[in-house]
Amino acid sequence: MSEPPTVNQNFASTSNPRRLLAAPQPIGPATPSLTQSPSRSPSQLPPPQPLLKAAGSTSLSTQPVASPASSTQGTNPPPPKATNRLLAPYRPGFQPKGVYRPRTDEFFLARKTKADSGRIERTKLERRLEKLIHLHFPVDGEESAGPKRIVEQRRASSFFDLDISSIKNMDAAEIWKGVIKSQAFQGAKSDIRAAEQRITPWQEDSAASKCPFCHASFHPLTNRKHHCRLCGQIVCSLPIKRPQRSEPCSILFIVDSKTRQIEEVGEGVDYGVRKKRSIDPSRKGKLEDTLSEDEKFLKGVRICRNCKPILARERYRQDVMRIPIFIRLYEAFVSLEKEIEEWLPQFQELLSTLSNDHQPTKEASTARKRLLDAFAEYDALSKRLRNLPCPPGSSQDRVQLAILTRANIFLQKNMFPLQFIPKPKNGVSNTQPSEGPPIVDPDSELAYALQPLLEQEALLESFVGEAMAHRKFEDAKTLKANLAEIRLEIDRMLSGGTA
Amino acid sequence: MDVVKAVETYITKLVSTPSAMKVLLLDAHTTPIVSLAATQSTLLSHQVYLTDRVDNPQRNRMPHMKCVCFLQPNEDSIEAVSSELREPKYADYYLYFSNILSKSTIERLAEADEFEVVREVQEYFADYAPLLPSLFSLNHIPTEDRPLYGSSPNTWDDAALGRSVQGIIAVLLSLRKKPVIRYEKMSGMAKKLANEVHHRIQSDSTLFDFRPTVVSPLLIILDRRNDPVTPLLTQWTYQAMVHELLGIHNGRVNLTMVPDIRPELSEITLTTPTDPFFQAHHLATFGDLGTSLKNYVQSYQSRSLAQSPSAINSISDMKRFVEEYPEFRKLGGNVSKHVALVGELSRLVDRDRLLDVGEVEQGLATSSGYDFKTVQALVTNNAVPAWNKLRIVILYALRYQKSQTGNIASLINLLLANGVSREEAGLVYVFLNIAGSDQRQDDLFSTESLLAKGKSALKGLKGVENVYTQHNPHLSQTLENLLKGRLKESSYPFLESSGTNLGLQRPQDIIIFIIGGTTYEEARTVTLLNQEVNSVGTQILLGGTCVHNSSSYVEMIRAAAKKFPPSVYEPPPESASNAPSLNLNLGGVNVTLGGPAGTGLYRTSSDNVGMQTEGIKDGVRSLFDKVKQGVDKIGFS
Repeated sequence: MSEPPTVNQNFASTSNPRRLLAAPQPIGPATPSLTQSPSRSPSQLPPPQPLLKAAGSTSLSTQPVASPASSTQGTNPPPPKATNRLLAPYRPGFQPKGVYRPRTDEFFLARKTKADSGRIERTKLERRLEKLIHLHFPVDGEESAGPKRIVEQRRASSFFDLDISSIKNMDAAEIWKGVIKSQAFQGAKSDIRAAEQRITPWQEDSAASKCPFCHASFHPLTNRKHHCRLCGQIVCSLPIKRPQRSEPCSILFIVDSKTRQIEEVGEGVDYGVRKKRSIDPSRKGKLEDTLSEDEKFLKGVRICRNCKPILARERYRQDVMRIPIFIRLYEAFVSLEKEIEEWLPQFQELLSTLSNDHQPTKEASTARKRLLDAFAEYDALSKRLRNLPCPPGSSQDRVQLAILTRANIFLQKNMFPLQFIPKPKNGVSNTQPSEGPPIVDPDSELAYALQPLLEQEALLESFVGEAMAHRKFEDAKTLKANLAEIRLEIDRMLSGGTA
Repeated sequence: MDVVKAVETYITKLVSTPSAMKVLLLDAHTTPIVSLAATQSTLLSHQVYLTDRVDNPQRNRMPHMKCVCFLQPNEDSIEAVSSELREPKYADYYLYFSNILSKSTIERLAEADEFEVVREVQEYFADYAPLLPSLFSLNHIPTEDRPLYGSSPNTWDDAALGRSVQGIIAVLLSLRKKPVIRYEKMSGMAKKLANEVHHRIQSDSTLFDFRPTVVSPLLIILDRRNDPVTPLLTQWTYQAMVHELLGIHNGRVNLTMVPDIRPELSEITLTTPTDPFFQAHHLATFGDLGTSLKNYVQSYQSRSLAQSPSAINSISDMKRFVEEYPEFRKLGGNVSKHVALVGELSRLVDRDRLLDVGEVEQGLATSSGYDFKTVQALVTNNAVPAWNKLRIVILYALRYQKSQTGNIASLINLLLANGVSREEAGLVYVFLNIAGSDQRQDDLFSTESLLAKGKSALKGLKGVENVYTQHNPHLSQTLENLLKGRLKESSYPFLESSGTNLGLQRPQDIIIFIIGGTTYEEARTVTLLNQEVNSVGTQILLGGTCVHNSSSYVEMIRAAAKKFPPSVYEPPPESASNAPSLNLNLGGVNVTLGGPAGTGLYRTSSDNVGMQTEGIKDGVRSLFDKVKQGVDKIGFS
């Protein structure tokens, strides 16, 4: 469609003033669709492209003004009169909302085609992972299977399957005997291995001579074969070595028995090399730590590099499921804020109806009290959120600080004005407490009258501190004088209350 | 056509969903855009508690926060977000991109999204920095690594071209404009860019499917080389001055170099939406600024008197005090910020003899010209920094390129003798070769046509308002012609030959894009013009690859020249016969109306100017003294 000639024709036709006058009328219905913000999620909308094309083929004027809002226009047919070359009138101050284009549907489609291809395989592996976790890390309280104990003490694949901490007391013959024994001992553990192999068919040992990822040849002593417990493939467990192996070909994971959290475990060495070092007398103090680390290592279940995403996905799913206290507090915080925001206009309305009346009604004062309580709770919540333990400097720390800032802004905006607007009326009821109708309980009345004063006192104190900090001594002096005054007032009221 | 509003709308919309605790991930390009368009408290009120860079590997896992990403779809950001999606640190992902996503990019992202955490993918065309309502920048300050020019001053660097096309497309989409395009004829780069933008509009016609307006909006693409003078001048209006002397980068000014600066003022925000004083005075000249600042300080003073001990006598006074105190403190902060800023500006003006330099510059930049001897004296003056000498000589060379080649050579020798390095002095010829009179298409100094001379002579008789703001950027001339329908199609052709007299139409929306960067002086012209013509309904928007001050501009040329053929460092071949013949054409008028210093009428107007200069200078100085006294009295600085 050649654009410029059309434009010119239009210009020529609109040089007729009547034409210009007539133009705005049919635009009327289009205008609300512009101002209305399309709050619906774009994924619910049909993709705009085909619709636009259809509109473009009929005539220029039916083209929707805002592409996301197009569905609203498209559904109700445009008035037939408007179909004759209609131009948008020029409105100087008017700014249309910028174009935005949802691509979510395209993205979802691409993701789906991609996910479908590997889905069967993935579900299979996920199910295996579930079974493996159940086998190796049964939920506490459930009967613990006999084989599990063995696994805890020895790695099933360990070549030197003996208590290595006592290795220095043995001579070579004894060690060798132990090795033989451990080979025989394999039979006793075969049931757990069989269970693993029931979950996942293992690749034959003879089928692999090299690690499929890093192509390192296997060797019975220096590079042993390991089976991935998820896909059954034989892989190596060598540490990272660039450039052949930028990440390890296999990893170990455990599931914490209490928190059910999946954790990756560092590669221990079960050839006795590190063991010897760890019982070095100079490092005896660290024995405890290394042992617990080793214990984790011994319990670890091996999976290969390819299957790592399956584990990560499971882990991610768990993380999202677990709701920490921080989130619960935050939810309470937000809902409280929302509540306050709802109350505020009600309260202001109540106030404006009372503005001629000197005596605050019971209703108004309880509403105010309720609001102030809510603010206090809000404040307390924000402080509690801030004080939740977290590593300093971490993202969590920054988030908590940001929430506190937000709370402060909110309080400054909403609570400070609130303290002062209704005060004159309270002031009246303070000075003549006996006259005020809402005498329910002298104690609470007094406390209630005192509250704003006490709040002010606290505020002033903080201001004085600030002024001093900024070396604005004149300000500080003024503030101090005022502080003294307000304290006097408080004392007077207290004495009056008890008298 | 308010770009600040357009970008604000985008940013507010993208942080408002979902309604939960959020982290906002940005990249190197979008960070300044968001910081210009949204304040910290806006973000907080939309529950954005964490803002971070997508390429920051140190981010912690926050599995309960939702994540909103706003990224430019460039290779680095796509790679960073893909690896983020492969190992997601947050719960749900809402991806927004600042420009058009290709199909393959979407597929690539979909492939990376193994955890199926992405909830939204959208294009929001906030792909430029909105500096003022009528000024945008693509934030591409050319360096040697990220050049603007290719192997000659008439060709693009490929990446820069792509980036500029994207930026312009985003501007058009965010404002819903489908323009007709004009470009400056002498510039190969402008033509190339115009073609690319046009092609992009055609190929993405579904996006540009707007209702046509009565008069199509106009995109006019200019080249900095047609006006090399404006970015070289010392500036005398507030915003332009701050950028020239201190540098404004994405609305922030670094004051750490200022002696005795208080720590809270070492970096300040200086944007019009967040600062009412700046909003009101960012276009004010230095002299007017002094008056306004004095009033501002005084109003603060009077308010602080109201807070003094004698003024607070009762509980109700105190209540008023407490209510007003936050507001009062805010005001105090703002006052001290501007006092510090203006104080530093005046210190720099004093230190670098900018009043003298500025006077000569203004003369050289306008039709009045300036005599060789004063320029010589300035170059030999030891109090003037070498940097300013270089600028003056470049201006002199641009002004008298054809008529006084001998003087230019001797000035360059003087530069070398007065502390300017050989490499820098060579830049004088680089400027002549890149943006000299043979490269320009318009009469930059209004010296050529009789009519222009007459006009400027008339102006000289009437007297100028302010010596330091005599210079009008060339852009204002172009715009004036454009608004009157007199902009020649031979020098500013339309991209597609429309056949009709489009050029005679008075355009209603004009978007100007300057390749090689725009300036705050031009932004000021556009803003003032917008205020003026607002009743008629014409709106003008200015943009460029970046916003220059003189140092960034010279640096750009210096870096670019290294890639050009080495002949750019040599004096341009001057056709000796050219200059005299031009003078002959002017004939007798030349004697009375100007040319090289020394004719009757010129002299008188120059004397006038001199007198006024003194007056204005004194005015400015005394104002500053007053302001300073006022400030000292409060004990503020």
